[in-house]
Amino acid sequence: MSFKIVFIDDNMREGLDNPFVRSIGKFQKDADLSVFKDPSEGLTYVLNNLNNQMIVFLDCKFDGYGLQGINVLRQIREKTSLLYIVMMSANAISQISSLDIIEMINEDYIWFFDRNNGTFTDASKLIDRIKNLWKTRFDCILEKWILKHPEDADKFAFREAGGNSYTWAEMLKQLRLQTEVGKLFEGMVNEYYIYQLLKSEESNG
Amino acid sequence: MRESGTLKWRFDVSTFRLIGRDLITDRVTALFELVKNCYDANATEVTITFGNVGTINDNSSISIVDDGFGMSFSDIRDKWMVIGTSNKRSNPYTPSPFNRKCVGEKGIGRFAVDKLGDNVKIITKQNNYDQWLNVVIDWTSYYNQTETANSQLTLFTDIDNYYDYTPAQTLSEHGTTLKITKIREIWLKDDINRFIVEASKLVSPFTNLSYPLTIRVIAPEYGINTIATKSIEDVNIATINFSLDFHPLNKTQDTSFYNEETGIIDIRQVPIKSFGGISMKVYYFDDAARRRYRKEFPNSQIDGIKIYRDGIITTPFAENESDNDKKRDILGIDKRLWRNLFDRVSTREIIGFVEISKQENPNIIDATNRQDFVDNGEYHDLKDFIITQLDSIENYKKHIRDEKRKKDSDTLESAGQDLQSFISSVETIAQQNPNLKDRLDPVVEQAKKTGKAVKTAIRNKKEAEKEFARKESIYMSIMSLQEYAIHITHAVRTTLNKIRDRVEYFNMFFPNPEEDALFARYAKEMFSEFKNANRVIDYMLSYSQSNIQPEDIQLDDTIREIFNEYQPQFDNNNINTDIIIPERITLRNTHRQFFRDILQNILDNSIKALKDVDQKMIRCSVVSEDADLVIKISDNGNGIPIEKREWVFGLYNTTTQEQGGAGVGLYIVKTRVESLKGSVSIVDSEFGSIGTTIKIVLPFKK
Repeated sequence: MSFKIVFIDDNMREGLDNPFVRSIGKFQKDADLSVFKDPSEGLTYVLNNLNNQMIVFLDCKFDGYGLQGINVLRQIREKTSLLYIVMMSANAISQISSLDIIEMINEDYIWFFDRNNGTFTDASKLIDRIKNLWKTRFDCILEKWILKHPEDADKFAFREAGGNSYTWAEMLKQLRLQTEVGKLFEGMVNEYYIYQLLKSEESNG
Repeated sequence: MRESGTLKWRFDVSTFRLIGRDLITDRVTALFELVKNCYDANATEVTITFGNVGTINDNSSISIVDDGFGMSFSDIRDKWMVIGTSNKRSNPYTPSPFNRKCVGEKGIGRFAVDKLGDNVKIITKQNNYDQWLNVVIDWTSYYNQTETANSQLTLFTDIDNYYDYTPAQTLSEHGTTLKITKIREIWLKDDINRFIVEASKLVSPFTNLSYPLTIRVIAPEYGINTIATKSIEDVNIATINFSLDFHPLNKTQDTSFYNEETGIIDIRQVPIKSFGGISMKVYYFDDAARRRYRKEFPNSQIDGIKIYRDGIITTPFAENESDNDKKRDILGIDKRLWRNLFDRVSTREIIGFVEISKQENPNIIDATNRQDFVDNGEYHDLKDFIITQLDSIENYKKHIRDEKRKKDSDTLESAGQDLQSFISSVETIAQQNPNLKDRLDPVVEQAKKTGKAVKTAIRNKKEAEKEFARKESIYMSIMSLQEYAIHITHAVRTTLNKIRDRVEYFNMFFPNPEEDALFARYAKEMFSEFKNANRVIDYMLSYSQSNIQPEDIQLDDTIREIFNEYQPQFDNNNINTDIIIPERITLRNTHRQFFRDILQNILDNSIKALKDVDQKMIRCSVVSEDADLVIKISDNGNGIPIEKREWVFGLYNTTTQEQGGAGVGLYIVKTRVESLKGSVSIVDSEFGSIGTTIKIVLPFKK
């Protein structure tokens, strides 16, 4: 299953020929790589591709651009809280504003990669860890299911009381975008399985 | 007589919670949103009464009574009780004759009620109706419902809200009362005063409202009964002010600058910025004016710049903090760490009003939590523009400080001279009238002593000034070193990381015949990164050359020498140069290194500015005019926006950040030129509409 890795860093002027990007590509052969040195271009790309599995490597400091890493993070988080973001910095953490650090710590699905001391292998290990998390996440499992059983994609999955109905493929999008109905559906399915497991335990017992 | 009955709300409880509790983060903002709704209802008077809010109790209440146009039964049923159906979006103006621009655009202000209390009674009536409609809403029943029901049922709630009618005294009375009870949080006197301060800022005092809104706040338990209104008189006692506008016909925006010749803040025009045209008024209060302000307006504060949209304050500034240090500094005025510490303007010295409009500035958008603006390029530019405007006040402050210092010295000097002429007059009288000599001698003696004391005072003052200048320069150098160290380490780190990445790539993947070209490229890149690192380090070391001795120099030779040193760089970048110095120029007792610093920094900037230009040109001319030497250095590069002509000389202000400009160069130029008793400015480009010309004027005797 392929996924996207997006690098947003003003120092990666060489694009895909950047050695960091290239080596990640060598380690993560199933990854589709993109590089942006302008944070607003990177942000547009990310926001247009939210229904993909994606990891964003985001530099903290952009010299000469209006947007800084933290602004890009905020704007992504306005749209989705599921995307995995790896903040990168060549500065010591102590040089990042403490308010920004607090904001980052309080986010879910966020990592920090130290560009001074971290090696290519470290970065690749981080990606592996994120990929492992994908294995257990509801939206990722659903995506895998749809890939294996394409015939289920357009089947009816859920109808809101008095509102819209959704197919499984549509529901996957709602989950990725963390819409109200997406969150509600995920909660309900989890509850349903807990209930089912408890019931089967009772009937077994 | 209409009947009573029940009404159902038409939205999902979780959405309701999201909006009511998550979006409106604090109660001052919540109450403020409700006052905005009164404004949108064409109210001319709003009375907010706090009852028993000092403790959590069942009798606590906050009532908001307005004389607006009120709501009909269908308004309540189809608008108030449905989420996201704000009719204000399709009708941006309130009914005539008020024609107010609606401020509660998102239609969520009413859900602020939930933030304030558990229970609300709405009493409302429109003109020509004979009855008041009363609706009682008990929010607690929603939560009880959510907590007990299963997940499917809680999607849409089926709870009944009781309503009935009471007869009106006259047909013409109208308005809405929200009586909120079971108040969630305690309101202390300070909290209510905070609200009063906030409410007073709702309307810009400069917007000419034909139908003004009076906000009265009553809290009997704290003896509060006051009108929350900010008047223009507050700013009348300001020391200096300026006012900017924009001109849609010419598509220009006013921008301010301090005119050193006239001593006033002048205005010039620049093309309209990315964020659209704005109006802006800024009032600066010096120490004396601040003292007067505190005395005359004890309940008000000098608290920086606020942004008003269509005459009404934007939400980010609606959240007050009684402790000044904890205050939100959305525009970043006080965050300008280290910059111009001595003359910096802080939010406690200025009151400002920035007027934007939905029509003119559509991309300045409130963030969803209503505590800031959406972080986009236009908002960054707006912040940048506002901060740049403060430069004119900062330069004014500096000018006043210098003037005062000079005036004090002059007074002392002239006192010394007066004493001297007094002594000689008395001595003359004594010579002409020998019989008075005995009596006049003690006077002369005393005057001479005083004269000595004045001379000592003058000497001491000069010493103290020198000492102050020395300390100031130490502070500046310590400050600049700290920022400088951050810049330099970032630059060195970035370079090192680039090299490290390439070395690591070699280490892991070399050899690989398929990637030979790539390895060759990485090797070349590493080499050039090393050169970069060396340049940064050399630049760093130039700071350690403190041993600067005065000497006589041939300025024409020095300039040519420096241009020669830059020749390889000019060649690499295809830059043509032109040096025009018609005569030999000898400068006595000056500092060669200063001229090198000045010229090198200007040339570095020119090279950066010429990066994307085809026919690159740098021109340097030196002429002597009267008692001045005028040096002009011009390039036909990117140019500097007219409103940034003063700003670029500030430490860390740069227009070439993308090319690695750190904003140190022109600051060095300015300080070096000033220490040579000269002045430097950016003037209209010698190349016409493109490029930059820097003009340096130095005192000069042939």
